[in-house]
Amino acid sequence: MKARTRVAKPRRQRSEDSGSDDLLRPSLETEFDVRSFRPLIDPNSILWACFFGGPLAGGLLFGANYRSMRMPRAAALAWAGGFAVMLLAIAIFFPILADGGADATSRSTRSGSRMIVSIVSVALGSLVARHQLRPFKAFVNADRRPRPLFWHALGACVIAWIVVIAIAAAATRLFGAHG
Amino acid sequence: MAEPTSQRAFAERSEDPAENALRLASRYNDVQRCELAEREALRGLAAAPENADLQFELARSLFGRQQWRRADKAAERLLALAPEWPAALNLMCLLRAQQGSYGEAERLILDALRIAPESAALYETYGDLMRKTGHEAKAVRLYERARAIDPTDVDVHAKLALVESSRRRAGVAEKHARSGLACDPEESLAHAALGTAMLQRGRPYAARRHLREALRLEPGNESYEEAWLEADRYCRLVYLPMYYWCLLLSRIPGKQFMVWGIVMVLVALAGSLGVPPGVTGTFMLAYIAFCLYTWLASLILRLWLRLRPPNLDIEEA
Repeated sequence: MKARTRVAKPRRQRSEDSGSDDLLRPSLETEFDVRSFRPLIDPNSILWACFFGGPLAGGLLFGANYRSMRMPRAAALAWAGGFAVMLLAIAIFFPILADGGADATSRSTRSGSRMIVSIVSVALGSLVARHQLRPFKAFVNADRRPRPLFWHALGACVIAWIVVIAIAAAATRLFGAHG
Repeated sequence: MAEPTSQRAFAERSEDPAENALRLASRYNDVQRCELAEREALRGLAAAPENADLQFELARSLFGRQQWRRADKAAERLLALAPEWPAALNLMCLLRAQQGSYGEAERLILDALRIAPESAALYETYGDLMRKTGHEAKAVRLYERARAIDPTDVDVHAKLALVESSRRRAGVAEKHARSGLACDPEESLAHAALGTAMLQRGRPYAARRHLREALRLEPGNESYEEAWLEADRYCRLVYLPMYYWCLLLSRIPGKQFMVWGIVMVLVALAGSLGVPPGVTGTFMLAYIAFCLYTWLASLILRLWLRLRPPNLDIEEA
């Protein structure tokens, strides 16, 4: 809820020691200005994309958010991080995922490993989301509209799935099914 | 809070037209008659163009009318006339925060606080800025400082309650809201803050009652109306389980993903723990049914609201 804003008329009462108060130490960067931001996606909602699309989908959306916040370095880090975690997950789980066994144990092992990747993606995504939450809050509180998640998340998930399938297919061809 | 308007204050007259205009503009601004305040301020400024007080009232009226561009120009002119006046810096800070230029807003309010370090209103503005930018812990400290300077300021109590609610410290929020109401039981913001705290405490009916009271005290407030509608939605039986589920999830780290993970682990371990497959299957079916309800709850509620639309006129018991 928005609390009311009061335009007060305080009097002058200069004090010598006011500067030493740690409450009066700035908390924001001087150039922190959401006017330059493009619409952001709610960072907490991106966790859905992390869950369904894995680390790459999350990385893509978090990176896009950083780009909208005019933080190109952080955006590049998010994209690279998402890609690296996805590669790591493929490297760890490749033997399980490439196992074409149709029995119940193989199936449950495969779904279990997919679940582990999703949970790890969400856990890592939560850390990035926490970092993005303050600027997002500031953005929304300046009466700006956030970007809707659904189509962006769907796009990111489709890209992530295509990349994962392509890499897994290439790995299968290079190392064989039980690489 | 705006001081109550006395008819005498409007009726008082002096020889100086600028002084008359200033008094009237200030009074009109106090009672949120911003158009009239603007007219009076402009009239006064025609007589005394360098009068910083009149320029302040002009900028304040434009701020109240949400004419941001004109308010910005008026505030810039005000700062040119009185660069070290805390009121001018405070107003400019509010404008910059409204525009989203938070870094500059903080610089301005810190400048104002260096000039007037014992002003509760300035700490309150700084607290608002910190709250807007997600620095809730610092906002609490700033509001507490404002409260220490002026313990009778109901707005500060209410804002403390709101910020504590957003930090999910519902008990503390309720305490602040109640102390605000003890200062002034007819203060709408305190009722609204208590309503918000009640929503966090899992008491939607009490929340709806307090938000209704806030709306009764300040009928045109869109923010209260929105909050009341939200509380009313939570009070509908079709949505009540969803409300409690969301409340529970908000307290669990990882939220629904954590619950999914736990369910998956339980189902995976059920076989090795010797749980009969029938029990596991029933549990899974029940969980999926509950998930379906949570996905469809908003839709069900929307349909329900078409049948039984919210009615603000109903007096609650």
